[in-house]
Amino acid sequence: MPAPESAVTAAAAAYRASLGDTFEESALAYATGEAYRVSGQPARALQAWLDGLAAPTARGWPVMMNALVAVALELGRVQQTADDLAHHADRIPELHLWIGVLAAGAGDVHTAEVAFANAEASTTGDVRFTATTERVRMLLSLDRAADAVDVLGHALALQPAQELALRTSRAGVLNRLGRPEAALEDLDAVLAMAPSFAPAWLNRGSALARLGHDTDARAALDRAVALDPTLAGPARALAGDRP
Amino acid sequence: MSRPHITLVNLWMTDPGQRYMPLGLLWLRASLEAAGFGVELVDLQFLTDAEREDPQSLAERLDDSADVLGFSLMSNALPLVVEATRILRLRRPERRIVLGGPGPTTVARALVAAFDWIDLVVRGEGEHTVVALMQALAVQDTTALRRIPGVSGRDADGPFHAPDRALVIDQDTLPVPRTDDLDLSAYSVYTTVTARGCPYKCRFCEIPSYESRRVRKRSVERVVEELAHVWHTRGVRSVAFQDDIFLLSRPRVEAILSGLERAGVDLQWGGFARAGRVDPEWIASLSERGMRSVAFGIEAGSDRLLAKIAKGLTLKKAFTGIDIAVPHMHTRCFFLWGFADETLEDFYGTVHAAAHARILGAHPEIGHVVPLGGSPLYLAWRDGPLEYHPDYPFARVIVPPRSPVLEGLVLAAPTVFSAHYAFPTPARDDKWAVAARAWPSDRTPLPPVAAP
Repeated sequence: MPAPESAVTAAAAAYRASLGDTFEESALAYATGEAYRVSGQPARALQAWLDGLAAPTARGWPVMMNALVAVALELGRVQQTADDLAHHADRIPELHLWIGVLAAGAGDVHTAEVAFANAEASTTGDVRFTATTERVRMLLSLDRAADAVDVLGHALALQPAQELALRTSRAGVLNRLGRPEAALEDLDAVLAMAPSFAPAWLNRGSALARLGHDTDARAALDRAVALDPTLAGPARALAGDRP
Repeated sequence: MSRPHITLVNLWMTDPGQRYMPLGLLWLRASLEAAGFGVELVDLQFLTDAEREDPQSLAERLDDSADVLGFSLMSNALPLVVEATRILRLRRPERRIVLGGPGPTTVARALVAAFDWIDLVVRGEGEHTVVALMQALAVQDTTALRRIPGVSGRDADGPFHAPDRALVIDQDTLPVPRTDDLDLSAYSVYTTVTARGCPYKCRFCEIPSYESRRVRKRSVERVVEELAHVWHTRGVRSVAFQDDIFLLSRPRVEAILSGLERAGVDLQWGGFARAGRVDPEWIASLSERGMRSVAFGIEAGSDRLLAKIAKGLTLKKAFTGIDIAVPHMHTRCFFLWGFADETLEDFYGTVHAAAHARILGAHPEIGHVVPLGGSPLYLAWRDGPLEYHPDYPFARVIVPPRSPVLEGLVLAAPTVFSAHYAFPTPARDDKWAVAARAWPSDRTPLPPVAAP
């Protein structure tokens, strides 16, 4: 019986031979890296994924990049991996996002902030929005809520398509900062545009609870749960919110 | 309702959290009612884990059954039903116990030989068989039972095994099931079957052993009529076609969809397909006509193993199909591992394939192959005993019994309960370790072992 290492290598070769050149190389690299990872060879997995990113058609598949970041952190290969990703980032701009996630995971705040900013500047759509939310998440984990409000405000100007989510997120941060009146301004704007946007009702319930408007808060939380039953847990947790 | 002549119990226990209409028994009921028999239908598919281990409780639930008590089940419920029927026999010896469905069908001979309280097994397609059986019982002609095609059983002369019954080629000759007494909202989705049988010959599958490889169809008109009826009268807006392969014949699928469109029926729907038989233009068109999900059986990640199991598919064709479907609809891909012929390299090929499917946006579902009683893989198995793993962690549909009584049955009769065993597979320990890391969500936490 071949050792796992050679079995994975042989399987990768056979798999590629079966599929021919029809399929995108970085997707195949993800599959091979995943086989190395689950066979207990994380360093080979990481290398397979990084090699896949060198392909001219490579994409920063979120499934692969999440795995890559986790393994790089597990192996403590943060800087080297970030450098490798940066090497391809001109061609694959979404890699800036993953450099940021990697650096944030390693506690390198400066590198993460630069990377997230690069991602927001060089990508569009969901990737850009994810860069913003990851940046906010990191700032909140560092107790820098005021900075998070600034980031969200800046993003609002540049990502009008994400206005609902960004304003709702900002309201959540404002609640956290003890500024429920400001949060309600954002939420009123959101709910005027999208009365069925459940997360906004959730944050509105939190803001109203902080202001002591318990009945209205309860009604808002109930509305959130009615619109999205998966919010029942957060709604219960927020029901007792007080400044 | 006057006292029914037969109680039919659905014990098709499938995916956790999913609840499927008891289609098989609905078809049987239609034929029985057309022949003048009263039928009580009891749907017990949604037993809890504890109830699945408790034959006494199942027997008590069914204590007031009609004098003929029939169970429809897959292999996973077989130990539970065997023990529950033993208790039921003790409680009312004159009650006739009949089993049917894929679980008992393929092991019928061993089943009636091993457990003398099981009176009859209806093998395969049961509509005509169960009517003939009830007619014989109604006139107390028990000697006729052994002459009814499709029946295995036991009478005063001992076990018998009548010849197979001819398949129903014209499915329109069967009475159409009624669903008027079903609370459709209790089921995950409205399901129907437009054709029975699968023309392929995958060696891990037991369907061809009782359905043959001949596909027998309902007419397009009947299918459209059924769906239009439930659309108009029951508010059904989505349907899962449960044919073994719904996208088998393009002209037929087109005819069904056109019929539905002419009838003003605007359904969302899904069904099984062969990944090697879809093309971009067709899938795009089907998506525009309501198709929201497709399921492909891919099975393995190496062409060598795909050939060994006679899948009739190559990896290239499989992934071309996945690539075509994913942009248009929810795409499920089924994989199996643990084959006797599966090298470690083959296994890592399957790891590749599942990961590849996932990154392309499909939803891979990975299960361990089981020795189904009628499958060619099992029937050809000559390489020694199957393995039994009481703490087997990868169970999905078939879970090792935790009750010592049920486990005792499984251990005592491996030919009856083969599906609870595993083929010996090369490098098993390595594969188990990798599978635990690769597919943690496919591990089913086993309930605690019952106290002795």
